[in-house]
Amino acid sequence: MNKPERNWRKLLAGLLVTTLAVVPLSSCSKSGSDSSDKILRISTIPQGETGDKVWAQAAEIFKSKNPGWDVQFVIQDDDLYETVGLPNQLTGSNPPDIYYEWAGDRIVQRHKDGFAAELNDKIASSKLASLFDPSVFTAGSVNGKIVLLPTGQDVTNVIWYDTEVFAKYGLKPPTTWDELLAICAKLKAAGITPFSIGNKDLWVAGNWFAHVYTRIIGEKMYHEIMTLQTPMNSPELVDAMKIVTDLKKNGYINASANSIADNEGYTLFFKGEAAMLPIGSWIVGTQKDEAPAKKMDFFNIPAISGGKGDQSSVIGVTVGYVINGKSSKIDKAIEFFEGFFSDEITAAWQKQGSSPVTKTAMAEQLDPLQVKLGKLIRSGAPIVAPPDTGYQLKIADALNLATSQVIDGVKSPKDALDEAQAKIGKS
Amino acid sequence: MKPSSRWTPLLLVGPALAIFCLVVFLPLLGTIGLSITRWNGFGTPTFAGLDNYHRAITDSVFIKSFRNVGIYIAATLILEVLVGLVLAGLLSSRKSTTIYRIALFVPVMLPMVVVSVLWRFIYNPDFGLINAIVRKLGGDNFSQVWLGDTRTALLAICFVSGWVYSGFYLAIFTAGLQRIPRDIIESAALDGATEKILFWRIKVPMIKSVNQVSALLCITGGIQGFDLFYVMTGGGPYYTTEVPTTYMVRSVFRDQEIGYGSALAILVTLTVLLVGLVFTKMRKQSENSLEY
Repeated sequence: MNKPERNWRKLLAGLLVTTLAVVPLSSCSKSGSDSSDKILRISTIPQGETGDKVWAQAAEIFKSKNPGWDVQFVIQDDDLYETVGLPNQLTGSNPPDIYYEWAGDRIVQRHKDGFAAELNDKIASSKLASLFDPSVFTAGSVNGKIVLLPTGQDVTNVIWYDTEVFAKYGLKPPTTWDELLAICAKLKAAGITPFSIGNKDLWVAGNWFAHVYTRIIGEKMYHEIMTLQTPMNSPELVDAMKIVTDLKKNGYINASANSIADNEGYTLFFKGEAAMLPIGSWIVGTQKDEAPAKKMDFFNIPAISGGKGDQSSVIGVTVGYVINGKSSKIDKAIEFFEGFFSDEITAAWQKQGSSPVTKTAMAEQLDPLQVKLGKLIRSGAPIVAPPDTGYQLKIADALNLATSQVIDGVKSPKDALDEAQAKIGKS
Repeated sequence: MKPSSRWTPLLLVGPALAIFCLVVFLPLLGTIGLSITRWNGFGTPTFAGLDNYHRAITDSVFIKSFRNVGIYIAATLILEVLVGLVLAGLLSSRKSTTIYRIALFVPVMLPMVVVSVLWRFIYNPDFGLINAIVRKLGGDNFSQVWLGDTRTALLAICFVSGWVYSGFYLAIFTAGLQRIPRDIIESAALDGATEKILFWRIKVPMIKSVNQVSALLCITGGIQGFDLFYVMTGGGPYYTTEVPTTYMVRSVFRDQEIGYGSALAILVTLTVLLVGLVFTKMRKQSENSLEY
């Protein structure tokens, strides 16, 4: 055996020995990560400047009742949080005790993986039982077990419009899709882009058009497609998607749609570069922070003639907080929420522009737009789940990508949906 | 001097080996292990054999990501390495160029995420600097959705990469050029060689090893490129700027397919290793030529 070969064998042996020595070390460090400290860790998405102050206020209430305890917040951009951020935090060494979530398939998965504590008994034996109407827990339950404490019911897409622009051109909120197209034509002729969307992350147009598709193909078929019971490239959805082609063909959506982020889309609307903004109820808080002088109102997607869906449906989701099922601080988390949902903090949230769902808040809404949004989502009309929060992300991504391809005109609805089906069918 | 004990060499290399095992070898073994499973990161992994690898080599997006990274590498070899080389040549043949060197090196010192956000603003189709200038000059038709158009998105990223790293390669080439003995340059100049001939026929061949290392850095760095793509376009539009690393991250973290993402990671690692080996082999074959 020559010398280089001997060296190679020695090196391999050394690596093996060192690996064997290191394995127990790394295992030891993992088992030691369990936290029994007096810190309540909360992961959430940004709440805006004024929202952060309300959070701090809630934390102070908890700390004053629990001397020696601290509340730590991990705040991540909502796109990052929804996709990469939260799963990483949950499997990290300091997982959150409480975390923000969207009702739907997400909480079902969290519950299945053991990351969502079942709260029925805890709620019944705490002040929380008296703060909520039991009906608000339905959307945040999995098989009858409450896993999400609701902070709001987000309408994830309506059409916001600039009331001054509408008044200037004598336009009224449409009641049918044809009326909406007539408004778009009038605005376009006046040199105003009808819609602005920031669809870089795909969910903005994804939410908007998912609702439109539902109106056309019906809620049942939409649900079947999103749960893989019906192919995504079904002729019904291909036909429904042609509505996007028409908007694109007529230049009714900003050309930059797929290259700018959601907040850049808001900016276009706030700066008057577009007359309408299809987005969710959270824009009320954003508008208060960023464009307080902007005068806006909204209308739901108008009725589409011949559509198989309920033409008064609303796309929305219940949002709130889940207590980590693997946390050793579940009781403390419940104590935190007793303060968080108190009348004092509820009033602070309302002042900030949010629309909490506690009994007190439901009785008295402060912001007229929030009142109107609340009426819309509680109108009794069917509530459609958004693709990204209501269903598996991979399926949502496939549909949303297809929609964005049609918006840009790089693919026909059929080609885009064939590709989407191939993608989800393969994985 | 001979070591006093046969264990001495092992003790000396031990700490380095331990760190290597902890941060490279173990994760690699773990990734190989995960790559033959189906796992969403929460439940129990199930054995998948080579299914993930088969899926990867037939995945059109993964294949496209290699095509994209190939274009990116080809473009950055020009925009980073060649531009860096030419800049080094221009600056090394002139006096009082410190200010230019600093200016060209500043982008290298900026965090890549900052660079990405900055350039996203510059490329913004509605409020961005480039389109504003184009419109100001009356070229409305030339304004573009730079990062949202399949024809321009990848090239726009390549340009930013060139803007950042040409300064890095400028520094490397400048160091190489300064090692060339002055008498050779003066002799050539006395023989009538122009600046251009001096640079391309004498200086560049004499720093061949620097050129090769720079090209290797550019190629392997290109395959591992992530931050610019992730922040500027997120792989879009429609996978036009998807590269293996962004697709890997998408699979692991967004789609929660840890097994499939691990298989992609192994394939990317093998590609980088292969490129490195080919380059090393090529370098060995040309080791006998004259250089400094």
